[in-house]
Amino acid sequence: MHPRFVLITALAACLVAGGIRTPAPADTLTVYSGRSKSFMDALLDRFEQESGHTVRRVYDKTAAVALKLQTEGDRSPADVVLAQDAGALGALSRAGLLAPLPAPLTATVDERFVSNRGDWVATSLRARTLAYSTERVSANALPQSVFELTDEKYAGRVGFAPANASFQAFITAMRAAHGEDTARAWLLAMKRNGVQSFPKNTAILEGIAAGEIDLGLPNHYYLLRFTEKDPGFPVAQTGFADGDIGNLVNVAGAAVLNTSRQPEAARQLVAFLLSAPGQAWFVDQIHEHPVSRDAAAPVRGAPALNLNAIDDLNGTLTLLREVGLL
Amino acid sequence: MPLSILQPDPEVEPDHRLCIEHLSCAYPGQTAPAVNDLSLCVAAGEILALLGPSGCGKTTTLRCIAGLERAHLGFIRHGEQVCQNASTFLPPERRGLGVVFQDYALFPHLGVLDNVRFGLTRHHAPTRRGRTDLARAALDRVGLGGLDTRRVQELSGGQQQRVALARALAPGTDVLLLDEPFSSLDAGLRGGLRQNLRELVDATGIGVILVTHDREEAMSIAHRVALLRSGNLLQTGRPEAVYRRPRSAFVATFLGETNLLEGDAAGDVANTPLGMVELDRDAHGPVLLSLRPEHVAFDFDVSADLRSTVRVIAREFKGHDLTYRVRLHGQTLTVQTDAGALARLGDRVRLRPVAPACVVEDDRQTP
Amino acid sequence: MKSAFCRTATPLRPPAPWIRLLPDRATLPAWAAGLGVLVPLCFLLVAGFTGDGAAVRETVLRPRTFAVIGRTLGLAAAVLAATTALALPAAFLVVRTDLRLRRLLSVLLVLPLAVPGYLLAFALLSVGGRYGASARLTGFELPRLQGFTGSLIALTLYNFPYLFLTFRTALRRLDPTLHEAARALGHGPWRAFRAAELPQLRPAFLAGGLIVVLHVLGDFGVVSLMRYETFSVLLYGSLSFAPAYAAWIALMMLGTAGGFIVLEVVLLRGRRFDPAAPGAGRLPRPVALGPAGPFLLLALLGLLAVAVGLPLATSTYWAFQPVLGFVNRGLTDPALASLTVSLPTAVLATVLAVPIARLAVRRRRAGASVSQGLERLAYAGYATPGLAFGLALTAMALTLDRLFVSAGQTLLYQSLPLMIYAYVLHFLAEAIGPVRTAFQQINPRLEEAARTLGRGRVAAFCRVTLPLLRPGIAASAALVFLSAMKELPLAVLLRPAGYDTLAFNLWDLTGEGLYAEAAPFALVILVLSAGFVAVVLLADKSNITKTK
Repeated sequence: MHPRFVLITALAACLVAGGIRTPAPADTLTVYSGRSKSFMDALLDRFEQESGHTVRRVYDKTAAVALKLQTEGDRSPADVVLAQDAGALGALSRAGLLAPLPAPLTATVDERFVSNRGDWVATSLRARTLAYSTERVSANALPQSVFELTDEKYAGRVGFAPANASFQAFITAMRAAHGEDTARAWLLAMKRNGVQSFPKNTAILEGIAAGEIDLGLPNHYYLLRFTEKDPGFPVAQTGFADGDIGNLVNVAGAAVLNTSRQPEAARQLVAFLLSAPGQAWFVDQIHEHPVSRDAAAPVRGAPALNLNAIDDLNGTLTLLREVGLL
Repeated sequence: MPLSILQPDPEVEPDHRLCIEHLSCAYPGQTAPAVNDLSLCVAAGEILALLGPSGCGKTTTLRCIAGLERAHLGFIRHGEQVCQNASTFLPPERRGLGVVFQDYALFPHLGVLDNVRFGLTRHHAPTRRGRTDLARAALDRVGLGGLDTRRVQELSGGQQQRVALARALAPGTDVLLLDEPFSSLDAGLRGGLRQNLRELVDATGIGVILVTHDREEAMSIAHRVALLRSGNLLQTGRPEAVYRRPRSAFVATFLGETNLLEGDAAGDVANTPLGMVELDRDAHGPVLLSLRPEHVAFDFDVSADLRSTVRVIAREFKGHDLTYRVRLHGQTLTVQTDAGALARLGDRVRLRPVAPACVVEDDRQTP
Repeated sequence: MKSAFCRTATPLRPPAPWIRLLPDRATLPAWAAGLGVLVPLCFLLVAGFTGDGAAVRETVLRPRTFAVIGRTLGLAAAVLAATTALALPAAFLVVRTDLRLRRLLSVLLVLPLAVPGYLLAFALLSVGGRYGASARLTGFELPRLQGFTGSLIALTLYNFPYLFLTFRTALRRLDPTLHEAARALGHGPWRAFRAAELPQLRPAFLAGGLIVVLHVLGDFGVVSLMRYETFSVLLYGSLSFAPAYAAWIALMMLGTAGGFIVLEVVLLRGRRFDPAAPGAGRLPRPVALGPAGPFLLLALLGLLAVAVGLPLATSTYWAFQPVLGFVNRGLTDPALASLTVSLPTAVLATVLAVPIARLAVRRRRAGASVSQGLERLAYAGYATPGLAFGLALTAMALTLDRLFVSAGQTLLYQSLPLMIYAYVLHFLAEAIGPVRTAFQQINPRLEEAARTLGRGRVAAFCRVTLPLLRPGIAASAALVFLSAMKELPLAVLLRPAGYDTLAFNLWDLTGEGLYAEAAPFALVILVLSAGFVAVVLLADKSNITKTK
């Protein structure tokens, strides 16, 4: 046989063998992240450096991560789950997949942002906002409530992201605060009014800037990404009137899985996210609000709602499917 | 389960290098077998030509012998070794037969010497140098010494043919299977190469089975010819014998031009359109006779029997002889005479057989 | 000498056709490749029937599902129409007219094949709009293409070369006397083309059109980035929320793909236009374009500029724009991830392709139709939409792990071997092509000659056929490698943790509108694509030189 052919075959065999290596070395943490890669990758790199643990990352949408964990059940390779929605964490908690966190760890966070069962903890806060085009919408003609967006004058001008976890949490909150029927009626009215569906929050802002839509319902911190690069970015954001459900403040949180084979390292990661450098990352880089007891100031205009009450993600998914948005 | 499993393998005469018996082979999807119940042997120092029109099964027979095609039934034996019987099927590499393919199948990625050395293993010579020497010797034997560094693509057709021959001979086989080895060469080259082959066989005593569709090639080079049609063996024998005493009309016409005459036989003569004709063997009733053009002569005395006079309708001068076409009762006959016997177009002449006519089996209708 | 060896009573009969269908040494690889695709697909049914049946049924049968079916078929029809409208005139121009540069164009027009659809989507998305490359660079704001229009343009630009190639070949093979006969019968040039030649292009249209339609059906990158909800987008979206529904969508995708394949076969049946007489073996006199020539040339060059130049220009532009500090994605890890999948894929697909190509070329034991059918089986992975195949494999892996691995462990699920398995079967068809061409050029007697010279089956293959196959094998491996480096849908569904490939990163970042961050990935993929084209052209050239 030709030597070069042997060489190539051997090379390939090595690569295949490399792929079939053991699932994870002992000190490797597996993180299922419902938060996007661009948010978390560098922060997890930093944790790797400081702790010496290797972190395997699986990025997906929050709802997908929650579902995946429920599907995998007791054979999930995950140690830590990161989610950007209290609803998803609540669903995992109710499914009994999460391990309780030690009290000293949760004590650093305001109790509004810790699970009733003490098995998940918020790592940062994110507010829902109203983004609008500075070129085509006047700042003093903005709607005062999210319910006004069904008005005819906004026909075809509004965008949201129904597959996004934060939007889904917002719908869950609307169902909790105003009732199932109101939420359904609002969604159907929005649809009739020609609302445009985007896959992601950033796409909404891009859509406004590019002139596809005039108004959108993203989370508050995405806009800062664009204005940071380009101060002239033609999009601004504001809240609705104080207490409106459209101003919902949601959490991004973390939890340790029951099935984790390295709970100690997993708790270490959660502690790192709550530590000063972790919180600084969320605030400075992603422009989210901090959760640590000493830093957390109440977010202006937020509706009064216990985040533990908005854990019915499945109900929201069913509703979104029912009205044809998923 | 074939019945043949109950039968003992047939005895083979010792000087027969290769014997096949009752060989039958069919291709999937075809109802008619490509080879049907074929039996033949080749002796040491003998060239046996498998002759027949294209598609007659001669190449299939050769491939079955080589083990490249699996005969469904039959017995193949090479020397003492059973290559195939009801319970055995030796793969081609273990049959020890040399094969030269029609297109030579020289390995294009190897040079001349490497092609010839391909079949040599440690078993033939323990060292690489020894194997090289064997290969060089084989090349010398076919008259190609000194070409061993050439690429096979650079060789002429005749040289390629001889490389293929050397390659088949190098492992020291005593039976050579040749599939139309001269067909892709021009006529001038063929004669010399045929002569070389004949000399090689005489010198080494190997047995050769040669597949060809060219009757002149078969008759000029072979010790024996075996005539095939539609997978059936029609006749075997020395070329002269088969030519002179064809068993059937097909054999007679395939081996050369002939005149087929219908007649009514009574003992050693038959009444034909030519008149009374002497026969080569006794027969009775309606018969078909084969009379070669050179076995007919002109008789210019037409007064004797008007019934059997013929008219000359064409004349072809071929140098050493003359061929005439004559018309007899709606049938065209061919007469070959030496240049001395002259007849002109339109002449009425009488035909006179100069040798006994052959009684042949009438197999003209079957395709 | 008459021996006791009598004629046997067993009648000679070749084996029945169904026996020739059963797997044996020659057909086993083809069977393995076909079943390797079809068996996992059965697990889609398992996944489809898991969970609350009534709820799933309600979701599947809601109007939205039918709307998506309509959108998918509509997009496929539109892309087919658009690609035909581009490919047929382009092929005619380079084959039958006196267009300048037609030889060069004949090669260049195949180039867009190399630019993956999602990269075109990236280019179209990032060039238009108020913050697109065009507006930032020149102040001129191009419209931002999205939804149906965006998908249509990206898919058309990426797919028209397939039809162009089949049309080009068909036009070259047309017997010119047909046209001349039609002219002699009193038809004008256009009527002669329509009446005598156009009908004969139908097989080419059906073959190329099937590929285009299957690509549209299987596409995920373009439609997800362009936000046009087809089967793929709905499947991916539902994956997170309703896996059983996703399985049903996958089954619908498969049904649609199968339907198109059957349709092609039915439309092609009895429509073989083999020439009635041997052709003249020449092309008819080229059509003189006159003053229209330069404009048509410009149009073709413009098409190329959009299909190839635009992706290149936009990714280069964005690669030099400032990036967000916290989006920290080096090229090294994604490139290594892509390599780790693509290299074994290339080797394994090629190894599997060799016996299948051999079967296709050397129809020995099996009849021609049987081995042809078996070869088709090996194309199952190519015709199966990537997302559907990925989902099926995920379902299979979970089921098998649950059966055979102790709790808390996974073996197949989210494993690299599973991903490679999917890649190998998906790209097998690409590997078969060049190897088969190489086989066709090898005299089958060579291996037989080696056998008669005392070499066994394996030795004969290794010492004679393999060295001669090497150029074909190298071309196959290179093609599969480069395709695997560009693969998106299978990577999205099957990548294990830590194996985010180049294509995945490009798609992910483009979806977030982070064009500057995505640009380096786009550039790397473009370089790989250029390599792909080079391999195709070189393989093509060596074939030409070999056939003297």
